[in-house]
Amino acid sequence: MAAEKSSIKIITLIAADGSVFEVEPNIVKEMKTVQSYIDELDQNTVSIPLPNVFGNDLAMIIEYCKKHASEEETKEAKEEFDFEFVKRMKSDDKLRLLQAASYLNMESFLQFMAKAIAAEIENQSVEFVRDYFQIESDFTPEEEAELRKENEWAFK
Amino acid sequence: MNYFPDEVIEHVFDYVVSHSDRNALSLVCKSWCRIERFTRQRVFIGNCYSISPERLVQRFPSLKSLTLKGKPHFADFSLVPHGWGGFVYPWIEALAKSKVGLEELRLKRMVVSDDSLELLSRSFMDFKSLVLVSCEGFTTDGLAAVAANCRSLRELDLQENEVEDHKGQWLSCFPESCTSLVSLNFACLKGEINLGALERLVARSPNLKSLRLNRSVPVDALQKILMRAPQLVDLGIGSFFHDLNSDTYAKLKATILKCKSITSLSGFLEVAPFSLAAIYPISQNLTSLNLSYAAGIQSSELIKLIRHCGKLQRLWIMDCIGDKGLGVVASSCKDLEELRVFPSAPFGNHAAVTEKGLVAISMGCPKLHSLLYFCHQMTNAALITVAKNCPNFIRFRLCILDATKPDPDTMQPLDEGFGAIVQSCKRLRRLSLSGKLTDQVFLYIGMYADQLEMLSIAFAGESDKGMLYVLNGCKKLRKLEMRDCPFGDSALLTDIGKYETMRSLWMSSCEVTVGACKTLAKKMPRLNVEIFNESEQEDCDMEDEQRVEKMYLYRTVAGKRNDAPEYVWTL
Repeated sequence: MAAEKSSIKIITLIAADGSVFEVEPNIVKEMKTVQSYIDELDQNTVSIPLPNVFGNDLAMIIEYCKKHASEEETKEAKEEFDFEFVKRMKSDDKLRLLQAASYLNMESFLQFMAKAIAAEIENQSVEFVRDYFQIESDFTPEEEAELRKENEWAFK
Repeated sequence: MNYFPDEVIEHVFDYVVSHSDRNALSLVCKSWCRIERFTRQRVFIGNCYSISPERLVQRFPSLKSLTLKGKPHFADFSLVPHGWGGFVYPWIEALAKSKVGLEELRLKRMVVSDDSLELLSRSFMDFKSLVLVSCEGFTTDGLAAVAANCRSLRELDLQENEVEDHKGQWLSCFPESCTSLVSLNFACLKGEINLGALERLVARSPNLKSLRLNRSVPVDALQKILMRAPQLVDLGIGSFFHDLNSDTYAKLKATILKCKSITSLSGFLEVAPFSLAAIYPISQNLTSLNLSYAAGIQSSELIKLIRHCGKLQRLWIMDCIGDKGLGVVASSCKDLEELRVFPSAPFGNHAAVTEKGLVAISMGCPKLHSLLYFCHQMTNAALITVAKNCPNFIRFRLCILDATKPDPDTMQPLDEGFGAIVQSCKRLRRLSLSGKLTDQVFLYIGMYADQLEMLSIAFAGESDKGMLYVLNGCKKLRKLEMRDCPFGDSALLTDIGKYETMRSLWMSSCEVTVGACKTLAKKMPRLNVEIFNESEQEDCDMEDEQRVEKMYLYRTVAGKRNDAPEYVWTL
């Protein structure tokens, strides 16, 4: 297996909007969804369509993977990169990247985004959280009032 | 609408820890409520009668850590009669019955029987942490069960509990296989300890970081323990009584030199004068020092020690340090964030601290945000200066030993001084008042204390207006406790909706009548209004006009409680 894999030189990822990314195999190691493609195809070059990920997002994910796959970078440099990475993202980017991470089945990037999103909703109201995730409440007003009361009265 | 599979949402939830954020998640929609319910591991219940144990386990079946609070805060001042309630047994029973995987239990002001500890120790396989603060009702037999049966115990922390000590060998009940302890605090136990068992336990606990001993552990045992545990970060010394010329003392001094990781020191429950020099070598590392039990240390000794403690962030000390000593604290401890000064004699002593000490602290310690200050006297000018120097106060508790004493310089009430505190400290969450005070101070509190969550009042105010200013103004108020204040029925009944926004209200020796309490209970069925009738006569017919000695009210989703003693009437 290992010998076969190493024969693959370049992997081409095609995003939902058609944009194309050529990356080395070690970059996609963490993307289990991509890995399962590679394992199925017995070829030197592979081209993989990712219809659920947009180009901009895929570019960011690849940037993240490159940094974290690098053996030259120190732990501190990676942490600083993560910090800046989250800082320049907009709130909505984080949700899309979480979805992408989930689709690509990337464990550590998924955790990373989950943490960034948790920070986004820290100390926020229910209304803010609903708005952010674009979720509509399916509680009846009575159910919601009852639950709100239990939260406030007992669990705070 | 974004769609996320449940397991992805769960990953996000894993990083949401605070109780209020978890509460918010549960309200987003039904599916989030369900996910949140099954993933909440830490639950905080500020009043054990606000909900039933059965409902807790039904809602949060995966809970691992539970914090429960029982009696009202004024129990600390012996105002809550014996047997009031706050029993933990039904909680442990419900958790055990539902096979909850409890790992941590933190209790404050609750009644903990030996049966509860026994049941706890046998019911939860992975139980790791027991923290009891100001609890009562158990003995060392209960502790022995915990020691013997909780095989992965990491933390046993007993703070300020009333424990009946059976002089049993509870410490020897930790099995030989127990090597997981990280924190052990038994400073509040009065009885003898099996020193051999203690030494062996420490020796086989490589992860022990915090150890607080009781007064029965003498200096030679302390020295042996420290030899075994140089990794300690937090040390509570039991007895520090020794002969300065002895071998033991020389050995102890040499051993302490090696304890470089200690940053928190407390205890000295028995202490010889002039013995503190032994701890000078580690004093520069200390961020926390608690000498509030170290009776018998002279002011000059305290001052010498403090000069070595440049990194202190938290200091608890007795008032025998004097104003001069607090001046030394101010010039030595630039990082001080929390200061508590306790009275060394119940009615003050001649060396007790005054406004001068507090002013000095406020000038020297700009990071101070938490204060408990028992003092002899206070002036408006001093409080105004303190407010200007330390605008970061979150907790400000002032206790003048003569509770109704005015400003001794002007003979005026202290309204302006406390007014300055609430006006300049925008983040103030907890406030205790004392000294002569009129309704004016409550006007200021209502006007400025936006973030105030807990207010304690004693012997203050002039009329119902005082209490109303507070109820109308302080939007975030959760706990209000008052004793010996002239607040009556009109103050109690004007804004009854407010009590559903608060955790609890305590009024004792005020002007409230039985009739008003009945009216309140009738109009607000979701409040439990308890009045305490401690008089000997069992005559239940209290007249409506009769003044209520003690009243405690709280909101609850559990209805009336059924474990109240006879003297408690829930209206």
